[in-house]
Amino acid sequence: MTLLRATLVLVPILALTIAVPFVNRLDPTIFGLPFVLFWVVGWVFATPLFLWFVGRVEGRW
Amino acid sequence: MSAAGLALGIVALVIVATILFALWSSRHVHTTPAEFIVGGRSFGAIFLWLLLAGEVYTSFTFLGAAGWAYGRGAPAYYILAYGTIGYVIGYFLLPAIWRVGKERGLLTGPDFFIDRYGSRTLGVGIALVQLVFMIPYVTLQLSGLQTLLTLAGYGTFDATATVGIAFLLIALFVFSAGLRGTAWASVVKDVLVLAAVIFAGIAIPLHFFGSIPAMFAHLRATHASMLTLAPAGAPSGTVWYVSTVLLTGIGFFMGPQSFAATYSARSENVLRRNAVFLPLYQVVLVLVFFAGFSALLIVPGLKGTRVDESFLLVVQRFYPPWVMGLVAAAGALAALVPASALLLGTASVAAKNVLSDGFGLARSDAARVLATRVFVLVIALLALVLWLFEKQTLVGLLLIVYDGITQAAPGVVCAFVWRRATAWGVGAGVTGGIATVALLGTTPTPCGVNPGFLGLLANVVLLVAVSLATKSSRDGRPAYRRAG
Repeated sequence: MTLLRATLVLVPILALTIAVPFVNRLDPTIFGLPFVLFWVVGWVFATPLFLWFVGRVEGRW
Repeated sequence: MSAAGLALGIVALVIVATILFALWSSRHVHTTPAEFIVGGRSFGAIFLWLLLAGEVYTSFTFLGAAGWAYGRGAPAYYILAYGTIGYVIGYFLLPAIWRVGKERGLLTGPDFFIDRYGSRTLGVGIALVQLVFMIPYVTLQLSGLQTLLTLAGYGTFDATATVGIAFLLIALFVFSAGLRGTAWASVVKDVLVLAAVIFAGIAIPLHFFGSIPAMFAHLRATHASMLTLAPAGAPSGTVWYVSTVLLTGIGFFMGPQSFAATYSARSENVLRRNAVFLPLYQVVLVLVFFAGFSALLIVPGLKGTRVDESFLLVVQRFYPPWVMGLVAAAGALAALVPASALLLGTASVAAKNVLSDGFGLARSDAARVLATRVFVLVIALLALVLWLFEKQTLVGLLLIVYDGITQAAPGVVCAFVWRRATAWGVGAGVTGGIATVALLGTTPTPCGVNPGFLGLLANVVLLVAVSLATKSSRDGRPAYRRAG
């Protein structure tokens, strides 16, 4: 359970920091956005799902 | 009526109406320090959401983010990422800060340090650091306000005096209404800002390019290199991006206004819910980027601090004055409402932790509220003076603020997770961190790492080394062990 929590927290953090240099590309464009911008925007909106799930795992809601 | 008269009239009307609405809504405030500074620890999830959104999304969000998209392109993506990282950290940190705050009756960030580390000197030191670095953050709001009012005036007048008046108005407002007033004013601000960025980020690209993908296609044809980050070693390259996101994400909730908002919550889960859902608010930033990129294609050629004008210049040139007035009004609230939270948070630190803890003055409840109010005005005036002498782009100012404010983070985290951390260790860490930032200044760093991040590393190393070499007077207080 601690491992699951740690994973749920670390995935968005890593995706928005050290992963970004590796997806620093224009292509493929998605919804017209350069890939790197799409990646960042996508993870920003995915983060609430991860945090909400952390709360579930912790029994907060 | 002239264009300038109409646009500025709308701005003035919106500001005055918002202040009156907020004063009316918070008219029953009892002026104990806990009520005035942290809203009596009574805010529910929605009210806290409004307050946090109100103080996090500032004129920097509105203008600075667009200005960076316009002037630099991809480095601006950091602005999207760091808030999100801040919320992830906040999910864990804020409930812990809240719990000890409630149990030990804390009202400010330095209170937390004094209580956990048993050193008043450390608390006063942290308070002085916050004072020094928060003043530029307030100044940033003034620069934003000036840009907005100058454009809404269609070049007919010099905005300097008007900015001063608007700013003193907001200082008087927070003087009388306290934190609850700021939360109510945020209601109006959030609605107007959301409307304005939907217009600027969607309607402008649709109008000029037909669609948002078409706008990016144009951008790619003319400014392809701006849409991705520069390689690792370059200024504002990938290494800079990663270190800046980490630095500013870690510092996200370290300012005095964030401690005040944290303590204002009714329960821990109110804070967790907000940490979960606030990243969705970042959609505002995405739209602001679209607006800034569109402006780069429509009104190219702005340089220096003028990049902050970006999409506002498009609105001014191509849309009727009433639209300009509404957009500028939204922007003005995005400067003034966060400014009120910053002034209040910083003033409460100055009153409680500098005047009372440092000099032994203003110790009764009534005197503390009065001192906080007086400091609201004093800090407002200091920010005005700094603004008159120092002009920087909004992002430039913000990065200076984070260099300093983030240095509190290792001490806050260690309060919960490391029993051996001592006041000497935290003090050495903060001092070393800030000294590192000051020494590096604006000189290029290895691989383009953000100097504030190097400061943070120095801070952690010193904190650990000095803590191990000294003995804590209150080794790992039980309240903090439980909260961690």
